[in-house]
Amino acid sequence: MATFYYTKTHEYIREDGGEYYLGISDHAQQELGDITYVELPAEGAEFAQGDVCCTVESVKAVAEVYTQLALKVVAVNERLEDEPELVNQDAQGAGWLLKIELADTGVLASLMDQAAYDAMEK
Amino acid sequence: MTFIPHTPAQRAQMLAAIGAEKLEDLLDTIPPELRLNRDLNVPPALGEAGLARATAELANHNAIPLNRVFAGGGIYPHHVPAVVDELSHRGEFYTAYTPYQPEVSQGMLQCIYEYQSYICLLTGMEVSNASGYDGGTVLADAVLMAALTGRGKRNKVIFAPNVDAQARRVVETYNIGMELELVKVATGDATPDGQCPIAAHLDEHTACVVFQYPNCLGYLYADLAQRIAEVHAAGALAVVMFYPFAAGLLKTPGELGADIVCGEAQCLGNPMGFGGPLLGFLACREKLVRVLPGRLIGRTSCERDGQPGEGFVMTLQAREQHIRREKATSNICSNEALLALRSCIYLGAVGREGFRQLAAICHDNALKAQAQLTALDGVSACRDQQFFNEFTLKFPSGKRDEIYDAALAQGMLAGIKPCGCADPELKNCLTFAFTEVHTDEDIAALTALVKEVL
Amino acid sequence: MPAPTLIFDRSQPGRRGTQVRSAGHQPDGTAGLPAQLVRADSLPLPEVDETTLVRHYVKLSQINYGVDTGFYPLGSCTMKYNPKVTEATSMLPGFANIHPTQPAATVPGLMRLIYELQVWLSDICGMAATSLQPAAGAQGEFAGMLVFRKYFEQRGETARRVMIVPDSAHGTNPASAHLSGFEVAEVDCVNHGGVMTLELLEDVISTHGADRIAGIMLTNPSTLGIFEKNIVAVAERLHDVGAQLYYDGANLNALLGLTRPGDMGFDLVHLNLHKTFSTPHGGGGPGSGPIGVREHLAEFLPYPLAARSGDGYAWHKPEHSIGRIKLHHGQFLVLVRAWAYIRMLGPDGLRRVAEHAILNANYVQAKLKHAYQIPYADRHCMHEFVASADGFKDYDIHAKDIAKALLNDGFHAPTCYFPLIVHEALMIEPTETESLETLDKFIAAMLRYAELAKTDPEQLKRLENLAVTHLDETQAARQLNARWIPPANTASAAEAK
Repeated sequence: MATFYYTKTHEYIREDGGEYYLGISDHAQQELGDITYVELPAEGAEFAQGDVCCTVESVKAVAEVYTQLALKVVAVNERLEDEPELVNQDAQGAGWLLKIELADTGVLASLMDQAAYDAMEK
Repeated sequence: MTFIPHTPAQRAQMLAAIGAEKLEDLLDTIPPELRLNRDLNVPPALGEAGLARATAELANHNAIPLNRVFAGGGIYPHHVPAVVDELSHRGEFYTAYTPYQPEVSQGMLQCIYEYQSYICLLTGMEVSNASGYDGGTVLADAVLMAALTGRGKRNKVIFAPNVDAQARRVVETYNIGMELELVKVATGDATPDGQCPIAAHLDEHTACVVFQYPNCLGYLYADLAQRIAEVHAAGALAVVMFYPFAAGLLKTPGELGADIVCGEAQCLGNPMGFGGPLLGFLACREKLVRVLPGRLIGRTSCERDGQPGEGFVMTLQAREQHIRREKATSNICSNEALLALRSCIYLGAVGREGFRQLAAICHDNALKAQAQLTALDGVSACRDQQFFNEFTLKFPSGKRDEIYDAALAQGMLAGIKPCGCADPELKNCLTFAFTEVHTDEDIAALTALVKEVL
Repeated sequence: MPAPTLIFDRSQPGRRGTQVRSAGHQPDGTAGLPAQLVRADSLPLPEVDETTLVRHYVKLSQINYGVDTGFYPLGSCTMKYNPKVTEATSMLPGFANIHPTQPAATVPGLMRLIYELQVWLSDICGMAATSLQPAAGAQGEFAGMLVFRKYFEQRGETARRVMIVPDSAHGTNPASAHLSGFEVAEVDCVNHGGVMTLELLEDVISTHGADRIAGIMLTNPSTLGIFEKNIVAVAERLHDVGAQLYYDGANLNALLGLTRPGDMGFDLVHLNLHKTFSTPHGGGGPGSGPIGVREHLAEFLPYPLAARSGDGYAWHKPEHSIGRIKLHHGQFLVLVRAWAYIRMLGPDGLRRVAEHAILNANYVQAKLKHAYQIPYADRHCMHEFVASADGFKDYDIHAKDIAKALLNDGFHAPTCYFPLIVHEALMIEPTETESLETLDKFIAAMLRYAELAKTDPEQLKRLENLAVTHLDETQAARQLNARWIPPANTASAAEAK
């Protein structure tokens, strides 16, 4: 069973059997509308807290994806190159952006859990 | 003349509807201390006849006829077919704004799509933007594209020998903000057999190498494809500034391996206009499209008369300033759409065989002229290299300006004086260009003039 | 599937078009060229006759909307009538057929035209000097930013790298500042009525430090079409901290002969000749974006400028010029049109342009203010105003629906969703060249939509007169198709034989 942690800027980190994935929340993809392009970093790239790690474009908007925690990119979702619509279809599943390694998993506790994020959305 | 249609009665009616007595009442939001309480310092108004008289005074009475202009350097005296002026002056085209509303702009959108297609054919590239300001600014754009692709790790830009000096100046100005390292390979480094030495300057910090094809003295680097391969081997991009008319006879930069191709397309149906407006073109490999600045038109599905169909829209707008603001790939908003349209009409008018033949005539005229001029005592080719329609000749010391001035006095523009800042030898040189407007008599007249001065 | 027919689709192998040179001697063209560079076949350009070509582009013109077609109230774009006589003037061979390297002394008339336009535009803006070099408004902005940069470098104030830009500003403003190496400090004016208040200004100054502020980019009238009375105080405060003021000239049509950016305290102005001075927009360009400066910035202007020299004129490079911003001498043939326009209007005509642009905007505003929400409709607007379709959202009618209904009824749409300060914005700029009859037709249509929005929103969304609708922008971006690709077998008839 995957666990989701959310940021105020609508990114999520999914923990799934000891592996971590970063993406944008279902709410965020709805706000953006039809996503047409996702700019992903190189594998192995490292980001500090507050960096921009990806850019997500829709027809008339562009959203930057921030890292709330220091992280290293293990893999990028290569399917998005040809199928950016995956983010619309399944933002928190097949539409993940990055598979990541966290320097310190303890800091996940500083993010919102599902209930807190849902509450923020209301 | 003011082009304001209101009658006094209508003006009164409108003011009444607003609840004002006089025009002045509408200006009450401007603080009185900011009002200009005098007439602007411009001359009094003229009617159409008066304007015609005033402009006739300024427009060059003794304008040099096109066929006596032997100068190029990016701007060439090509013939503009009448059909180009006629069609591009349809009000529906030239009085339109940028096609923000595709439902009522399919005409211009399709023209720009055709333009992008033509530019891709002429350059051998996969994507072209909807046009840029001129051959200089698109070179700056191309350099910026290469730097963006280098993601901050490649900040060096190498100019191969003999890249147009004005265009380089424009890049230098743009670079005030970009702060890239600009390196110019000295003209003298070019080997006499036309090989282009850049290898010594290439390294892991190189974003791109800029070549001009043909170069600013008119010459061709026969080994351009090999030089581009060297650039690629160093992990850098090859930017080629290209004279699109040469594609009538010569391989496109794309066929030689270029990644980004830019240049000036005034030659495709646009007047010289004392140097403006011009038509900058900018095209690249599809993998670079995300860093390509400017408008881009795409073909997509739509409803046509209620049925599923296809049409055109502005696309990939999320790259642009109105969405990305300071993070946009460039600040470009408007382009040279009307000149792009003219280039479409031009290329359609001359057509496949016509374009090849025109290029062949330009080249043939240049060959004839070079042969006749270098047969004169004291005149020699500046480089022992091959050329398309432009070449540079060296004259005996002190004679260059004399020839140029004597030509002007006879209503002839005898080439351009190449930028001699890096190469003192060029101070005795003139660069001549030939097009299809020149006849054997014109070439003979130029030769006779040079002979007379010598 | 009804698809558009491209010029390439009309090609017939072996057909010839316009004959530029008579069919006499035809060189084969390969002699004297490096063998490695010679192309084997001709490029697959279309093969069409001139009749077909003409009909193709006439048809395309007929599905394109310009000012010559009808009313074009595109806010902040100043889509006024483009006089035919200025077009004809720009095509005179004595202007159009001049090579740019021809020495200044041999083209005194052209030099005088450039010089006079520099002088006139300087007076119109209240500036000391003007460079006509920049190719378009955005390039004018960029050049202006570089002038500021050089100015501060010259003064040794290299720490001044913060450019204040209201978030309500046009996107080119922050993009130009960034391209020039400035750090953009966006100020939230959107939530403060779209106005740069002294309070907001103090905040941004104290956040970044007074000695790091390079300047501010503003326009006046504001993007809401309202004259910014704060401007003098804002200018004084910024000059106090040693910063410079940039004027975005997009809205200058409202001010001609009435007031001047220089008198408000601006240090540098860019103009859009293709807006205020009635040169045509050309379907997206060419534009022309001269910049004017006060005395202390004149030495940094982009070169070349026309200057007096003895009895004539010569090219001049200011001492600390930022350099060359484009090739040759600016958008010369566009400058000819602007020169001719000013020459025809004279001082009185220019002032009347501004007055009547303001009259037309206020008339339309007065007629629409009961049917649409218009912020500050209690005041007189300048040359444009912003109406909102927000009142129709309960009926699922948005600004874009009003815009498309206008297109369907033979008008162009206003600027939509800009400025962001107003929800569902429709920015309306009628310009001075539109008659009362045209304005009344537009007003009647707008009032009808306001009624329909509530009574029959589905009818409002029906676009029966438009041939092409519902363009799929998502598909256009996801599956880029930005060129025609020649079919695999492209040998020409000549080569096939």
